[in-house]
Amino acid sequence: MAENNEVLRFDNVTKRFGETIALDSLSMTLERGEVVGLLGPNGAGKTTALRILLGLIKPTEGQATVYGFDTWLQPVQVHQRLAYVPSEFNVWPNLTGGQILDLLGALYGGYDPDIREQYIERFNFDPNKKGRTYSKGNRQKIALIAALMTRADLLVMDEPTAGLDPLLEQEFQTVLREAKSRGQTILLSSHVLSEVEVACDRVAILRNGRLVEYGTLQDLRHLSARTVEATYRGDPPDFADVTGVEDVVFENGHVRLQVTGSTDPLIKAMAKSEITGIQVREPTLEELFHSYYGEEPVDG
Amino acid sequence: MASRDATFEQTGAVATMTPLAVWFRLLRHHLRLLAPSSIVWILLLTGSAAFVAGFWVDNFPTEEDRISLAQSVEGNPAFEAMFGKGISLETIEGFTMWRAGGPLIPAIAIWGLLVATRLGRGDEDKGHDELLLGGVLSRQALLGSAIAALAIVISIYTLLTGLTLVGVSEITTAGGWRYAFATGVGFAFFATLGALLVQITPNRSIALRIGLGLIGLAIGVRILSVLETMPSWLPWTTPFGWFSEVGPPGDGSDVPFLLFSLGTVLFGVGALTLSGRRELHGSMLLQESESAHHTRPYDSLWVHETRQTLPAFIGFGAVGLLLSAIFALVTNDFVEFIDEFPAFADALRGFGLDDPSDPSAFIGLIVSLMVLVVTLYAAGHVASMRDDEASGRLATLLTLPLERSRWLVVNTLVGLGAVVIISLLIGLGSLVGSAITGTMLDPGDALRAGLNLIPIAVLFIGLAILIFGLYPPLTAPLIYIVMLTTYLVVMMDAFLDMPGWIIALSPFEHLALVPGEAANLTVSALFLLIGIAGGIVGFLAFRSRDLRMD
Ligand SMILES: Nc1ncnc2c1ncn2[C@@H]1O[C@H](COP(=O)(O)OP(=O)(O)OP(=O)(O)O)[C@@H](O)[C@H]1O
Ligand SMILES: [Mg+2]
Repeated sequence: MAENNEVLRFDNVTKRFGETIALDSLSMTLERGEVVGLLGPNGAGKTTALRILLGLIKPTEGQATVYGFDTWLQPVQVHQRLAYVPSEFNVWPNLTGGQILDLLGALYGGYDPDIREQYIERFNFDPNKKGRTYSKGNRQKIALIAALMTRADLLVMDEPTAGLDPLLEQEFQTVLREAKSRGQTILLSSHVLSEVEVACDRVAILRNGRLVEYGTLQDLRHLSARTVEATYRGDPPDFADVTGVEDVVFENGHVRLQVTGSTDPLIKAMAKSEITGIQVREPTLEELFHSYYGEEPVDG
Repeated sequence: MASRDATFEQTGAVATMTPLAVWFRLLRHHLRLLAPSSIVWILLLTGSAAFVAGFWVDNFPTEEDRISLAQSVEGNPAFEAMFGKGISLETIEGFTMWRAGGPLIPAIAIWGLLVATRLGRGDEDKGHDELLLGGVLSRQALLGSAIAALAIVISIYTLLTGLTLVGVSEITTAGGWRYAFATGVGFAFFATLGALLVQITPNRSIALRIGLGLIGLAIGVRILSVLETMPSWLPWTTPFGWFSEVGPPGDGSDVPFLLFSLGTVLFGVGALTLSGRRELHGSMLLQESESAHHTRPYDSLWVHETRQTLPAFIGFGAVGLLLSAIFALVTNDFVEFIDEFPAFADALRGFGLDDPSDPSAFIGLIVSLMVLVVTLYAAGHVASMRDDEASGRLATLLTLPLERSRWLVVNTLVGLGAVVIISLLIGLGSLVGSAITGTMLDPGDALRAGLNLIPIAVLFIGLAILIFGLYPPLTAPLIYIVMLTTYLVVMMDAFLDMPGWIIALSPFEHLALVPGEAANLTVSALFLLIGIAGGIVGFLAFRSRDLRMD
């Protein structure tokens, strides 16, 4: 099965929890060396998809494979080549960070202590404290170090940067690029588009358990709209004809609009009148879904 | 996820309500947390007391019977070690206070400690309190609500117990209410102690361990105080000794009520004061050691799981060893007593003890009483496996190349190993205790007494794994309920005219009183068999089910 470059495959995977359909006929594949972002609002089914991939829960229908091994039936073979970072890492309260890394590394089957030291330094992590005294961000660091130090072929990460401060988030992006250049395959979930934009080759978008988009960022250009809000002294200029601008709303001296693609034409147009305040922000995924797919989920 | 939505709802509501309304809502939340377990506890405690009172009337119908009972038991160290000092046992009030209150007051103490630490710190340790404290309430108001909830629960208990005793038994009004109030203030004392402990310790589990340690110590001192060589003030140094002094109306002492109330006020005020000064997740006295250098290699599942169970193992092992040693201190007195009162010897023969006047008979009784230490550890061990799953730590391990089955088997074997050692420690304790007071047991007897506890522990491990495999969220509650009810059924057997088959269902009923009685190999084999079968079914179910992190 594991011919060619396929690393993992979801084959029509459905997962139900009682009445809830957490995952609805998910089909997707990842190639070796790819970095793929799994996006979706809260409750979209990201964690569920990853847990199925790890053999922690069993698909109601369909099959997930990693390197050709069934994730439910052959978890050990799968886990020999995979490292996982959960979205919330609960530690053993009575073990030190170092002991937790020892344990996870040993059960994985070994790792290079130098690499471990290196990550401990880069993430500025103190391994000599008891588990219960670590903050959320520090617990997250343990999970990241444990996963990275193994040099597993496949890294699966569920909102890996949750709880990290901005500096470390940046460090994490660097780490991701290094992992990619080493040839590691990476699947990471997030609900922030900008976070995966930088690092990922492809993006999969889940909503209500369904895959609604799967492609490169170029393919999904229409998703990378930004919301611009500006306040003017006096009358704002007219934006109607500016390339990439949509949904313009004027309201006594205040303007709100969406822009896709290059922002250069917009900025030039905006500067025609006197601006007193400006704000640019990424739309949330919910806003995107709202504007592109309407309220109801759409088949992917 | 569902829980996240719920919290948003909560914060949203908090923002628009007055502080008082929020406080009442919180009180409702606390009461809701308490309700399920409190109902069970109150029914068990009230029921037990009523049964004891009924038993007395049925079994000692004449004045003569009653006086002979009082004469034979009062002042006898063996009985006083188990149930505390007996006062006016020829009255129903005195007998109920002694025979029901004596063994129930430690249970009430543990109940108080459990609920108070849960309400006082459980939410905070799980991070829920931060949301609540982000609202309009101070930490004192939060603790105040917890204490108010506890006060409501204990009022209900006291009321129900008083009404039941006075209503259904022949006990006098004064006697019934005296029992209800004495146990009620006992609860208040230990509950406020728990509320105080969570203020001065870094988290609930440490507070709980210290509290349980204090209770164990207090019980130990209370038991020691019955020895003739001990000073007469010794019982007054322990709350369980105070309780022993309560007695029936007129004959006992009222000082214990004062002491319990004073302690309650002191602890309660202390807890409230400290809670205002404490930082969230902080502690007033003990500080968590921030730094702990690790030098040992830490690299196998065996080492890991053994280390995880070590604190519980040491705790239960120490309690088993010490309690059985302390009980065994009165072996001599027991033997003398049996020689003096042949009627009791006959009653004990009914339990299957061949020669009740032999020290081994008493050791058999003690060790079978201590069986709960082993089975509680066993249930707790499987409960902690479920805890690993619920917290997501198990998921972390299972995303490594580690077979689910291997994790379960290693964990089970580690628990079994601990069970064997704790059982042997209980046997050893009885040997040491009786030796201290000059009775030399056959070491082989003590060994057999300990070994005899293992099959029933295996049974409970197997049943717990069965629940863990089939419906994990119920692991802890169900196994503890099954264990405690089947234990109580046997304890209450003497007082109740329960159908024989109910009693026969309880595994504790079939536990032979080794070494006073020969081990029953059929029963032991059956325990092992059912335990192993349950374990295997649970194991298969666990292998094919989703991990549940809820
Ligand atoms: N064990 C479970 N039992 C019942 N329902 C569940 C369970 N786990 C997940 N769900 C439901 O399945 C759906 C998908 O949940 P999932 O955790 O996969 O979402 P997610 O995309 O990871 O969300 P988030 O961004 O909040 O982490 C949700 O509706 C959730 O309530
Ligand atoms: Mg998730």
